[in-house]
Amino acid sequence: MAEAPESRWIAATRHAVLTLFVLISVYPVINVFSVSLRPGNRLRSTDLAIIPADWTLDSYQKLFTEQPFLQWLGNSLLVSLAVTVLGVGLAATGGYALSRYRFVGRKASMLAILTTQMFPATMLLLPLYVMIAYLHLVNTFLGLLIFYTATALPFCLWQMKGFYDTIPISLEEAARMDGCSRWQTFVRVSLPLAVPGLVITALFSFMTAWSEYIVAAQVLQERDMFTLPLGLKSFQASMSTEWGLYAAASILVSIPVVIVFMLLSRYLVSGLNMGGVKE
Amino acid sequence: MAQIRLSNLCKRYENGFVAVDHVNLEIADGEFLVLVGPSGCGKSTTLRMIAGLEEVSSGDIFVGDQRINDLEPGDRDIAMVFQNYALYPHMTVRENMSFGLRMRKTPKAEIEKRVAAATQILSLESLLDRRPKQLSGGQRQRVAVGRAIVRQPKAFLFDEPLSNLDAKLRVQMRTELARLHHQLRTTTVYVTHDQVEAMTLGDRIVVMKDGVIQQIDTPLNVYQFPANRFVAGFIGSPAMNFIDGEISAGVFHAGEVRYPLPQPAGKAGALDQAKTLPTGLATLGFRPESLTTQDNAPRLAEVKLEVVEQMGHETIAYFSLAGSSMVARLSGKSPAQPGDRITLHLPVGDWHLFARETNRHGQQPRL
Amino acid sequence: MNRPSTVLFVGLACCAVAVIVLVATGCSNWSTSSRSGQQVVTLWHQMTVGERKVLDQEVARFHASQSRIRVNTLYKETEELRSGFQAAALAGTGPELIFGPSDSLGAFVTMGVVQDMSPWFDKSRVAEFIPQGLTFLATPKEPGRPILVQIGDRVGNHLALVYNRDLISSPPTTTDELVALAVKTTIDRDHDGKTDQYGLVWNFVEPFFAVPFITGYGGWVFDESGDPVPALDSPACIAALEFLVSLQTEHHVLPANCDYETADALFKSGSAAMIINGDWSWGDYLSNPQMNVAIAPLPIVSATGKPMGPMVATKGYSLNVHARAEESAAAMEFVDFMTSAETQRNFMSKLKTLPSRKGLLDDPLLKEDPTLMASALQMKNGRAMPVVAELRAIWDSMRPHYQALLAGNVTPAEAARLMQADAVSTIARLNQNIQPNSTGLVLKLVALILTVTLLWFQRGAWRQLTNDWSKNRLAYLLIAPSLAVIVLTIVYPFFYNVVLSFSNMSLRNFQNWQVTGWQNYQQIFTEQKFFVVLLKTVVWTVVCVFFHVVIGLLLAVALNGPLRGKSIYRVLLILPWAIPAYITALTWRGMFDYEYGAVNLIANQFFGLPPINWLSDATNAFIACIITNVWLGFPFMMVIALGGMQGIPRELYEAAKMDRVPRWKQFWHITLPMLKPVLLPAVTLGTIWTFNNLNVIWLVSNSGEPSDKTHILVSYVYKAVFSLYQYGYGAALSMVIFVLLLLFSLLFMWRTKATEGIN
Repeated sequence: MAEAPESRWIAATRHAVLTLFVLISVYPVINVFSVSLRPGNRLRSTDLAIIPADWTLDSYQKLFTEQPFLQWLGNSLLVSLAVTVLGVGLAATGGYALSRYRFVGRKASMLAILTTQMFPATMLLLPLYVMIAYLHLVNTFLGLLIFYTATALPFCLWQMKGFYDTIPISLEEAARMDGCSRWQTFVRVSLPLAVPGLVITALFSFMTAWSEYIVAAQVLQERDMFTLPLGLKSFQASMSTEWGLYAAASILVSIPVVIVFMLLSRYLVSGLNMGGVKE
Repeated sequence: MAQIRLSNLCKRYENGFVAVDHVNLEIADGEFLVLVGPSGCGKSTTLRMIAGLEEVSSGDIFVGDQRINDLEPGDRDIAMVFQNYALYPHMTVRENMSFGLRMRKTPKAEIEKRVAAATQILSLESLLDRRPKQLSGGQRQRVAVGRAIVRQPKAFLFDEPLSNLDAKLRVQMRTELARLHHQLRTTTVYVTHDQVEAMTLGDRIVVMKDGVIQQIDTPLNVYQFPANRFVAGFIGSPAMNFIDGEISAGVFHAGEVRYPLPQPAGKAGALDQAKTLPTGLATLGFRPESLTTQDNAPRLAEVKLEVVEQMGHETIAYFSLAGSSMVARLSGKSPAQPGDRITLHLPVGDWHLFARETNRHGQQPRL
Repeated sequence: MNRPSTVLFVGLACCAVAVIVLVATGCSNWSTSSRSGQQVVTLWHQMTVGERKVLDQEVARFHASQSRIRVNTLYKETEELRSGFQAAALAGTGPELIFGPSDSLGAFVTMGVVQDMSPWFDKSRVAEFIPQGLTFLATPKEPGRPILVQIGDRVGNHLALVYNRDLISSPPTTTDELVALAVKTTIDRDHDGKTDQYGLVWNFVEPFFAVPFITGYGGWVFDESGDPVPALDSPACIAALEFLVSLQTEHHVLPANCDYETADALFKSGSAAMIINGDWSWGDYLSNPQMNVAIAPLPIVSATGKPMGPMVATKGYSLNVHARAEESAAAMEFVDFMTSAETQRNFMSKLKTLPSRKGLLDDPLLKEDPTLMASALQMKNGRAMPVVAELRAIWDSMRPHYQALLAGNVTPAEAARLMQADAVSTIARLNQNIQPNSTGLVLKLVALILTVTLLWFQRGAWRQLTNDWSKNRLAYLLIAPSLAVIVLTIVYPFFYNVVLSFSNMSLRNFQNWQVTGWQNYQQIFTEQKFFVVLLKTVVWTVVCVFFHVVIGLLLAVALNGPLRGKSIYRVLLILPWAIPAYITALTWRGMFDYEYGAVNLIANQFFGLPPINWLSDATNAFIACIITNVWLGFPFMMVIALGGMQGIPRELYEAAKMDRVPRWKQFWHITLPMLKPVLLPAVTLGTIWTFNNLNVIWLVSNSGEPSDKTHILVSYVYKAVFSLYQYGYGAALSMVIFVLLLLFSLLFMWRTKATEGIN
């Protein structure tokens, strides 16, 4: 691309556009960061400085000393990782069936999976709670695990199905000629090739569990069992929110996700595939 | 090694489309059989049914004496080479080649021995630890073949294996496959739409169209004695020329063409001319290479050359006759130029007649 | 060497272990369990972070005093506490005790979710409490016999005047003085036309803050009949609203707009001389070392001679109707402890709350504390918060017009008229009691016939399934777990909702609801409001998705191909997607603030633009929501587009270059068509997600502000259900949303073949 004389202008334009949007993307995050550094619970300020003149790490310190932040972090990690494993497991197998087999009810299943996204989730809360109580899952992580998996699953299934669609079918045929059973074909050939797709599915499942609080608020009934978002919400009250704590916790909640995104951004682009692209 | 037998093999899809229609075929032990035909003729489907990748609608497949219809592909002891090679991208060449053996729980030492042997035959030694991505097209092709031969299966199936290669490599791999077959003598079914591959590789050729076998014979016989107009037109390059016309009183008429049809000498024997030659509407077929400018054969027509391709060893000349485009293959030394008018002659016995309605060959020219 | 089978094995093992661990650790059932013979009492409360500290100390003291009962406290935000408690009651469970202000009690009693505490509360002890301390209410079943539904441990929750002593030496006693003082302390230091210090601030969002003005002018939210009949259109009320407006337009002592956080920030930063705020906030001001603050009762209205009286509410404990006898006994033992003189005294000394026990009113602690004295004085002028479910309707009806009034959009008389009209209709709706009609029977019949015909037509599928089973067994085994999870968690609630949508579940028919017919649907389609909100939803969805795609494509084009710093750009641009939306949406709300928001500050400091009233103008607030959602959603589309672009062969562009096709035409004729198969499913899903995106509207516009004009369908449903208890209506509206989206998706997929993957 270096040959054309216009290319320098184009590169400059690209940088300009990207820089502008990077600023827009990053600013709100920086904003939260500076709130977390302000002393005395100050949410509003006309000061545009990122690090306020009277900055302090009090909020962070309080988070670890006065609040069971580490406990919440542990709970969140446990639930999110379990949801990730379960979500990936189910999407990897279910998506494979949807992509490779023409079984009875396949079309209906795919439509049903898509339609689950169409119902306003808030209205499901009441029956959801009734059901959780009926199944004796109130205040258990198992209850959360099931519901988070169910929430993340429709997207994950579609995404994995789309990804399997891009794997040439002849590879599987070759494996079957080589003596693999259908299950072995799946495990030894298709699955390893679907790793980029699995990574995205994992990321999505993790995110679903990591940042959810509405269902968590229904299921979890003990402070020590709170997940991070729920802990965060407990700093919020209708007219007396602990903004410093809230902002500090927000930053800490976001860091792991951002790191995961950074590590996986390579896969994000190649692995996200909701259908369409075929060899 | 084994003989393969297809008996009344059919493939019908749910939408009613018949891809393979009552195919009966016997492939002898050690034979190299080529399935050839235009795309969609059912040749690949037939192959995939043998492989077990496609369900059989009706009919039977036997390998040796065993009916294998219901066996899993992996249990049929058949190896297949795919058009796109289908090498496992996440495995090295060595792993690719040994995968089938590992799945069969072959002892390690044995695997190593066989891989080594195959590697040597295909000269892949230096590539064993590479991944398919790092290989060239020809190398991938060789690995795919290597993956098939290490298994020492009862039969090899090839599904258009050379179509993804460039022309030069294709010729090279073709001879390599021929050599390999000569060396291993494994029963082979080879699917291609390239009639040069079919002619050069096959012990016998099966020509298919619309799911139906048109002709099964040795390459030369298919060339010389095509069963019908389709086969005649499909085999041979450049393709056979056809003129639609009419026969009356032993003369073929079509526009300015008037070609006498004497009893072909020594081919149909003593059969009565009136009985063997169709009358009425018929199609006259002749191969480009049969045409000559020497006047010791019956005259066909005087034509004006439109395009002339000088190849050195031969000259391909294009012209129009009786409303269709035709090709003549003349000697390399021919001085023909575009625009020249030349008189073409067609030797006795080098023509084919096809009944217009059935397109069947009008003669029974078997010796 | 790659060993996929090992990987999978490890994965499965992890999965199994995780599930086992979760089951093992998560099984501490909360409701009744008596590990080691102890009785566990669960308390849901809504105490602030500061109050929680004292609560924890008192619970520790309670635990130390005995060993049979363990108390498990759990903070729930006010609305969550209410809706969670109702849901739990439906399921027949829930915490034994809830602690909160008395205003939810009316609804709780009507729904029958709290029980009479008097069996555990000796009559003789009634006299120990001030009258507001104990709440007795009549139940719908036995109107003649009121039951004890709350034992208060503090009264208050009332507003008073907080003033900055550095700016004001002595507090105003009349409103005339108030105005004079405010005018004096409203200062534009640099004379740039922008006020730098305001005389008076308060929350312009919650009508709770308007009540003292109304009482000061002699009005009240209900009329004096004793029944909850709204009286918002009274002359007193209009006069009060006129006074409010005059402060803004005539005396210019108020900011142009001001929510709770802004008022708080202005006062804390010394940019406001006085603030009207509640007892919950005083501790924060008084303990602030940089401020010199005092509390004073609200002044007397000069025009009427009456003191401005805030609403005074009791906070206290209520007992769940589903608590069993031994649980109730244990719970009440805890309540006795928490309402004891000693505990109340502790709360009083640490949090400056006013006690509910008569004895403590003469306590030296109270007498010697100026803040508590001012508070007690203010409370005397206050008026008890009515303990009826209808109060919620009053707030909901006042809120939009109160906001519009202070935004200068309606006149006081008009605002009062609208408040009254809304309150009357909202109360009617709240008390709506749909009776079953013939359509109910018809519906049941239709449902039966539908089910039977469906089964009849699907009978072939069963045979097919059994035939297919042997062939595609693996496929069924692979998909079954996923489908099971989805069916379990989504299908059951879905059908529950279908039934609910034909039912009369509401405040009056909470636990005894029944299928009544299609009245809810009738109501939806006969209301103009539905179509207005629908239109807004469509605008919202179209605009958001359009910008998601356009910005996503723009950035993908900019990122595609070799570029220095590409990976850094990519990571930073994904940030809006990576950070949980409930954090960033709130941040954006802050950034849209008129006074302190970064959007206005940046526009003003760098571009010299005048500040925009983002959140208090309906259109602007809607735009703010859209901006936030666009910000949240573009990275997803960018990533999708970027992935799709990698699959476009370079040759196409090279061919176009040879043909001298300009770049933008290359984009239009090559990139876009080639991206279509990837973008269309993403757009379909994006549309569905955006259509149903409650979070952004709820958090950015603070549940529909201003004046409930920023609602999209989902937030409208949410509001209907959670503020008006119209479960049946909400369910019906959800069904309508569902059908709309289903139709859209099918149509869109059919027209664009977006999901050819299905076939």
